[in-house]
Formats: sequence, C-alpha cells, structure tokens
Amino acid sequence: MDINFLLANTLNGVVYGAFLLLTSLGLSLVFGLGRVVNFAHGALYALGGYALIVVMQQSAGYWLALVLGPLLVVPLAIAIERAAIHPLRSRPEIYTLLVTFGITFMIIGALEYIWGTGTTLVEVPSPFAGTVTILGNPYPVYRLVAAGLSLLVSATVFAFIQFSAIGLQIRAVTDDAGMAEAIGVNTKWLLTAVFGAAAGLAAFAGALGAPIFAIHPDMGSGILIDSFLAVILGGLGNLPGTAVGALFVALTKSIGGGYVAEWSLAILFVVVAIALIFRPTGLFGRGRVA
Amino acid sequence: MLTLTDVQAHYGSAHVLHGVSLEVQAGQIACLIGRNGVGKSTTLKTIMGVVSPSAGSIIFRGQRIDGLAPHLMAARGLAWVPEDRRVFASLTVEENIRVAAKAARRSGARRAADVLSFFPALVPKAKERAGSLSGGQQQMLAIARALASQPDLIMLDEPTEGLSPIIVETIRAGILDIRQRGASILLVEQNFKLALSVGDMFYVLSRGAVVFRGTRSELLAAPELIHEHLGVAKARQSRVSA
Ligand SMILES: Nc1ncnc2c1ncn2[C@@H]1O[C@H](COP(=O)(O)OP(=O)(O)OP(=O)(O)O)[C@@H](O)[C@H]1O
Ligand SMILES: [Mg+2]
Repeated sequence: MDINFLLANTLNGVVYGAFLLLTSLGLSLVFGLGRVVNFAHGALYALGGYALIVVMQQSAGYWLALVLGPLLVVPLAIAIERAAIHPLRSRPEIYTLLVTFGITFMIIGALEYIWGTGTTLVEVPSPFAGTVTILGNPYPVYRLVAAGLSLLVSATVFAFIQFSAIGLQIRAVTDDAGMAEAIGVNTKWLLTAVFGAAAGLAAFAGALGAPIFAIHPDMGSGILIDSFLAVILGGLGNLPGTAVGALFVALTKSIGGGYVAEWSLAILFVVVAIALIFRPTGLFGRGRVA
Repeated sequence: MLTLTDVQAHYGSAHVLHGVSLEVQAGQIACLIGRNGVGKSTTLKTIMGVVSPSAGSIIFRGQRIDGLAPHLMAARGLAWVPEDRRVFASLTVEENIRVAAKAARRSGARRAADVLSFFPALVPKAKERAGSLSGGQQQMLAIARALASQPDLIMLDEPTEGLSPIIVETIRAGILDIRQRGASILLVEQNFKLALSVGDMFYVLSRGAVVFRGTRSELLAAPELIHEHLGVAKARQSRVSA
C-alpha cells in the first residue's frame, strides 16, 4: 500500500468532511426543528456556487463574493420556505420531502437555463494558490484554509446553538415543538429563520468549495446524499452526532474511494446500513427516527 | 379571568367537546373533574390553542383568544402543564425554566432561582438534564416551567397522577403556593380528595359537556353525582408509583 496515496486520501477526506459538516448541520437543524426533510439542500449549495460567480462578475474579489453570495441565497430560501414548506407544516413529513424534491429540479433547471450545463472553474484566491508540504507530500494550501474556515463557521454555529437565547429555543423546539410553542416560542417563524440560515450555510459551503470542486448545476447532488447519510448516522436532529457522522462519511468515501473509486458510494451505503442495523436511531441517536 | 362559552372541539371527525362553558375567577382554583375520556385534557388544549375550537368563545382577561396560536396564548399570560409533563428532556432543569421565562416575552418573567423557590427539591438538580429526573421531579419541573413567565392563569392536567404520597403532598403545597402568590388555576384532577382540598369551584365534565358546576359544599351535597361521574377517580387514587 502506498502510504503517500493513503495520506492524500485521508487529507482529502478531512477537507471534504469539513464541507460536509457545514451542509449536514443545516440539514440536521431543519429536520430537528420542523421534521422537514429538505431535499433542496443540495440545490441551495449549488446556488451558493453560482451566487459567488454572480457577485464576482460585478468585479468583486473572491473573499467579498464568498460573504455576499451566500447572503443572496438566504432571502430566496426564506421565500421558498414561506411559499412551499410553511403551508405543509401540519402534514406528514413526506409532503415537504416531495415538495423540496420538486424545488431541487426547479433550481437545477433554472441554473442550466441561465448558465448552461457546463462546468465553471473558479480560480483559487491569490494568497492560497500554492501548496504546502505535509510529510514530504505537496498539498494545496487552499484546501486546508477552506477546511479551517468550514470548521470555524461550524464551531460558531455550535456555540450559537449551545449558548444563545435563540439557540436555547431551537433546542427546546427540537425536543418537543408543540410544547415549545405552548410556552411562547413562535415555532413557525423560528423554522423559517433557521431554514434561511441553514440555506446560507449550504450556500457558503458551495461558494467556499468552488475553487476545489468547481461549479456546475448538479454539483449539490453528491453532497446532498452524503449529508443525509451523515445526519442519519449521527441521529436525526442530533448536532454533535452529525459532526461525527460527517467526518465518518467523508473518510469512508475518500479512503475507500481511493482504492475502488466506482464502489465508494456502495461501500458507504453498506457501512451505513450495517451501522444502522446495530444502532437504528443513528450512532448517537436520541430516537428521532419516526 | 377566563370564560368559556359553549366551546366545541373535534379531532378530525370525532366530536369531543359538545359545548363546554366554565369560568375561572381571579385568584381561584377551579377544578375540572370527570371520568376518563370525557374531554378534560381536550378542554385545556383547546383553551391553550393546541386544539382549535370549532365553535364557542374563549375570553381571557377581557379579550377573545379562541383561534390564536399557542405562543400568543403564552404571551397573554396563559400557562399549561400537560398530563404527560413534556419537559424538554435534553435541556437542563435551569434551561427548561429559562427558555420558558424568555419565550413568552412577558414583562414580569421570573428568574430561575425565583421559580425554583416553589419547589426547593429541584434546586440541587438545576444543572442536570431534565430527562434524567424522576417522574415526580419532572412534574415539579413542568409546573415550575409554567410559572417562569409569571402567568395569570395556569392550567394543570392531572399533576399528581402516578406519584407517591410525599410528592403528591409537595405538589399540593405548590398549587396552594401558586394561588397564594396571585395566579389563578384551572386544575384537572382525578384525585378527588386532593381536588376537594384545594378547589374553590368545581366543574364536572361528562361526554364533552359540563353537567355540574358548584362549590365544594354543593358538590358534596350531590353524592349520586359524585358516584356516577367520579367513580373512576377512587380506583385511580390507589394506582401510585414513585
Ligand atoms: N389526538 C386525538 N385524536 C383523536 N381522538 C382523541 C385524541 N386525543 C383524545 N381523543 C379522544 O377524545 C376524547 C377525550 O379525550 P381527553 O384526553 O380530552 O379525555 P380526558 O378527560 O382528559 O381523559 P383522561 O382522564 O383519560 O385523561 C377521548 O375519547 C379520546 O379518545
Ligand atoms: Mg386527560
């Protein structure tokens, strides 16, 4: 076994895990709050990539676009929630699942209509274009920077949930939404706000990953599936579990995929299936599976 | 304080409340009693807005509140302790109280320490997760959480069900303390003796309608009514656990 190959795959896995953490957190939060299975999360990630391009075309630099682009996606996501998800809140989960599935195709269709089906490359921002040497192997600096930023943002989200007053309300709603409403939490608006914030996180991940993974209309599909696997593994709605799930999925995929590329998704599904047979509510589940 | 007039409610096509009328006066404990499944819990849920009334009116502190979302009821000073307690299991005891104190956005919200003074047994548990508490402690916490927003009216749904005599006595003392400190109470209680010992006004519910309203002495003067509508209560009193 080539140790350098393994090292590169492990590093790639950790980097991908950091991105997956950002997207999974939002997915998990939204599910925990409103039992909304948001299939459009991957499309919102893609929108982040395109929002980055749009802002950069206004001759803004990458870093400014990285902040502004995702902020453009937030009001759109809020509009989607109010128009399509909010009216279905009292219905079973399958309704929002189907609607968000449909929204995904609408978003991808719109992206293809406007920008075509091709791939757009985004240049690695200037100070981080080079490589660093890790254990004698060159590795792109930007990947490490992006992973670091992802982790920083994720940690901020964790801290917000754990220590802020809104975070406390979010945790109460995740435990028992009906009871939280009865003590005075406006659960519907809270879901709308969190949906918008989660979309912002996904869009940020899409924009941050653009110089690494490139931009195309369907770029969100893969990370959507991986995020779902991470969230299910972590126990639906359980944030710390989701974090471990994200790293687990990313490492399994990149290390396993490094040797048998075409099998990587299959390997992952088998691993997740086995894990769920022994822990039906996820590795860290709190019995959230309905 | 609270007036229900001919309130009706459905679960889907099941007609559960057939016209409930009752009042809770300021500073009083009104008891809602009756056999299993007659609609006592549904009455409380309908007042709270958790179940939408299909007819009738609910007036709270001079304003109609029927049809409002539950979070608006909480903001107006209504609090509800459901029969299955429903504490936020992953939050600590102190967080359970803090979230309730803030969420209702009421000016007089209490600090956690003040709320815990109703149930001193909870003080050493303040940093523990609510899910790890015993049933009796969870019941105390559910009541404490309801008190956090300094409500004008608190609705308690069978707060002593399944609890040991010592805990029942603690909760009884807490109920009297709440009235003493100025809040009104609507109490659903299957423990007939306990209800008699704290209640100012009594309503007997049967198949979704009030069949008796009166004071303690008026209720005691109707033994056949007690036998017919509260027979189950006696059997239930002996069903006690930790
Ligand atoms: N969510 C629901 N869906 C359908 N029917 C319900 C629901 N909840 C209660 N019911 C029915 O409504 C009726 C009244 O129920 P409710 O819980 O109000 O009774 P209760 O007087 O509180 O009884 P208990 O003493 O057992 O608590 C019962 O026949 C019950 O089966
Ligand atoms: Mg009941």
